[in-house]
Amino acid sequence: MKPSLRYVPLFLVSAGLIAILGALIQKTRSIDTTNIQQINGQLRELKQVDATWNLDILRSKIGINKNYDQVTTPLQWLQKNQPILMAEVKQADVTAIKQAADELKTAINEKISLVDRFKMQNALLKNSLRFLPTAVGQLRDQVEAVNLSADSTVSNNATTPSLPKTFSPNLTKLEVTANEMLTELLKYNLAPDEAIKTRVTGLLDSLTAEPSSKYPEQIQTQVNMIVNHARTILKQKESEDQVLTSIEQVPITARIDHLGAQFEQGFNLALQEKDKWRLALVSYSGALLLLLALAMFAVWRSYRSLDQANASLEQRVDERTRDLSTALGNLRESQLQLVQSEKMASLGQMVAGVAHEINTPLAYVKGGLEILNARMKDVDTLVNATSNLMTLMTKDIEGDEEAHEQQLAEQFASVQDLSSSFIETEAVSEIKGLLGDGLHGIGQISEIVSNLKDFSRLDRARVAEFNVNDGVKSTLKIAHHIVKHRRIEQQLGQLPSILCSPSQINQVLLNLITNACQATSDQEGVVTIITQATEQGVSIQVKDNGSGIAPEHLSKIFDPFFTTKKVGEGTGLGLSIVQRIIKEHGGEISIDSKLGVGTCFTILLPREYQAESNQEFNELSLGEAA
Amino acid sequence: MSTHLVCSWLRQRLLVSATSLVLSSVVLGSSAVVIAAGTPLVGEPISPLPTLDSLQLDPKKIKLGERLFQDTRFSKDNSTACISCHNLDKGGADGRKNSIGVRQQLGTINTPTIFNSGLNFHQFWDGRSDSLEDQVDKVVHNPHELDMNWDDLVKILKSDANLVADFNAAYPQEGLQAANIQNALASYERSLLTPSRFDRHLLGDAKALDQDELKGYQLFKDYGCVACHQGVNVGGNMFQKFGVMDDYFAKRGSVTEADFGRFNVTKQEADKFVFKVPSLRNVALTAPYFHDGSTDTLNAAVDVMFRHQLGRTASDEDKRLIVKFLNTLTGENLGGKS
Repeated sequence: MKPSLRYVPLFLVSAGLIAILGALIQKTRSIDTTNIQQINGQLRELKQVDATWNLDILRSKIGINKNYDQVTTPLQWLQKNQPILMAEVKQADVTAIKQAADELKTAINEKISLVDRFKMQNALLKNSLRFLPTAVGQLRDQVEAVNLSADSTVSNNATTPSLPKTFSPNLTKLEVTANEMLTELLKYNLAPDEAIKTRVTGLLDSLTAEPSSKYPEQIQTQVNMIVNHARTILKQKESEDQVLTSIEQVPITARIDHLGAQFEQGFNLALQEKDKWRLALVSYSGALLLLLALAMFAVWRSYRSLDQANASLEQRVDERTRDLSTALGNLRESQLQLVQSEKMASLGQMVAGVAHEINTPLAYVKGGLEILNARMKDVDTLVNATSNLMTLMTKDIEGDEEAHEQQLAEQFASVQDLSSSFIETEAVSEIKGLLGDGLHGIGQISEIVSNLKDFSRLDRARVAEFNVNDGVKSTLKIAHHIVKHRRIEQQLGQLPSILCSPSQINQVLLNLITNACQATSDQEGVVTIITQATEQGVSIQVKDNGSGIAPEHLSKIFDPFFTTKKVGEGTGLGLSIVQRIIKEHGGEISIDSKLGVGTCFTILLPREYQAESNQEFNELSLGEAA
Repeated sequence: MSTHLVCSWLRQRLLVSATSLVLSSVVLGSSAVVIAAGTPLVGEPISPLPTLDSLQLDPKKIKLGERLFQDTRFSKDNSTACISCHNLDKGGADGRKNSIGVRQQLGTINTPTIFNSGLNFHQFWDGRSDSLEDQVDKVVHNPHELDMNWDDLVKILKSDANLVADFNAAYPQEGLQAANIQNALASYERSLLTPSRFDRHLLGDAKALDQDELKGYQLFKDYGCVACHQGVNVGGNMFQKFGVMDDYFAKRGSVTEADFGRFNVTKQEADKFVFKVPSLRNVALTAPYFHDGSTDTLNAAVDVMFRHQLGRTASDEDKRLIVKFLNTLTGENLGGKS
């Protein structure tokens, strides 16, 4: 899993926790009291408007208001403010509030339509009330006019139909009835009363009781108009009172209060809700804090264990280091042992060669000495015979002279035989030759030992001025038993002395020459050693015309323990050590080889030895082991 | 009129700036001089028109509404605009019995004047709209009138970059949309106030009316016309049954649905034949009369009213004087409106 992916669940959980916290904070955000205040303000204002409205209705009824504009103004207020209130209701989104608002709206609409009705009725009522006294007055005028004309008719023309005469009392009665009706109706208008109404109705009935033909047409029309208006007054007054009662009964104030209460309740509920959420927020925050504390504790603990782990890690590192250094020590030891065994192997080879070289002179020294030892018997016999003759000759003759003489002659003859055979066999010169041979042999052995000492330079300082050409010569001598069957071509140039470890350079030369010899055959083997002075120091080339090295082996040729020889014949460390020695000297070694053509090792050594006091290097030096 | 202006200006002044007492007293002093020239009449059933300034309308919206008022794109066949029926040269109406709407359809009712319509408590004869905005909506949708719908209309008008820019200027928040078209038209209509000689009379101009006209006004009050035709708009603030004292429709015959008036809105029996009392401002210009346009002359209309509404008769002289008074309600500067 990618590291970024690994953190996704953690991130999601954190985001979730924060989101919950945000939601809780949102839920507990303090309620906008301006809102409820605004609503309350508006409801109060509506109440005020309603109260003024009621007052204006009454004013219109009484006639203080000269027109209905004031009764209409609440509509403008409602048109402007009702949508605002309704928006608040919609925003509150509480069923009870909506219901209360709808009820209020219904009440307001009811009142509006009642007020419309009131205006209609009030206008008619006012109109009729205003006109009725005029109408009754007009009736009186008309009746008077009729009576006057009747009188004049009577006085002027007795034969004319007496009809108008019959009018007179009836007309007067009609006028009285109309007047009475007017009075009662005005009373009724001021204080509506069922009894008065009955009386008015009765009077109206009596006004219309007479057949229309009874009065002059003009009076009849007037009476009808009066009755019409009077009935209108009765009707409108009654229904106006009903409408006003209905208007009074429209429960606008109650509904406003109810709506206000619902808003209040909603507000309180919201407050309670908010308190709940606040509690939830506090709890949640507490839980979060606890979680945080736990997390911090966990972090602290893991830090502590990390510290401990660090401490133990150091310990373990120490242990491991100790183990490793022990292992390294062991490895070094075994490596040293290996190196040692390589040294021993080289030494063994050398010792074998040296022993062979010493063996030959030793054999003929021994042979000569054995022959000498055999010859010593004849010498001993001659010496004894000669000694006996000398004794006989010098001894006093005490007895038989002749015996003596005889004895003497015999002795003489014996000595003579012995010495003549000695001379005849040239024994002395033979002994001299044997001794010379023995001395020559010993001289050869002595030379070998001297070369060995030269090679290993046991007697010299570890780092010294050294001529590589001397090293080549010394090595060839040491390796005589190996190189004697090969043709060795030496192309040794004029070389400057270089500062180096001679024993190690000799070891390198011995190894390379030995390898070259081993790679070539007895009959055709040619090993060429070329030394040249270079700008930096010297170059040494050891070339052979042997079997060459397979390309796949070429890269591993300097690897430790790499060998193509049979097990037990080589350690595989030879060239590895060679490379190390050259490197320690600040030089370079390269190899060029073709299968079946030959191999050439090229060494470049600087003039100045890189004076590194390398322990391993020193340990590896052959000289110390030798 | 001027005193009214000064008073309202003073009120605003006091409300808005509430400047120093000294300044206020100076203003009061100057207004006192104006009042001395003519004292507004008190206790009259008819009130003078408000000033345009007191309505605090946005001139940009008025201008925009004026443009829309003449825009025939409001009708489906691009033939009819608001102004087609509410011709300002014809008293804010069209002088026809029934108006002609989209596709030359004959309307069902007589067109009321657009002048001072903002002062009516409801719109239409039956009062089915509470506001001018709503009135616009209903006329636009009416298949006999404009037969349009807002989606199409807004789409059409939006192709007019000039108009869109003007809407954005007048309504920075929403720009060109149905509600603002309605509001712009309503704003323009509200601005169509027609101060008359009678208003001057109410404001104290003693020379505004001649003797006949003053007598006519007195008769108007005495006969009870003023019971319904009162208030700032000389009507327009209440409903009344047509034919209270005498059945109008029985005499006229062939009752149509439009004759039911308010009943069509409330469905209450008591509202049958009930109509909004029309304003009498500019009444001399808006013949024919009544919701059915049945009466061609003002004299005849006054007759109808006497018979059916007042339930009484009047002398020809009185009626002549009343008509003279009604003529004083005509706006003095209608030329500026049209």
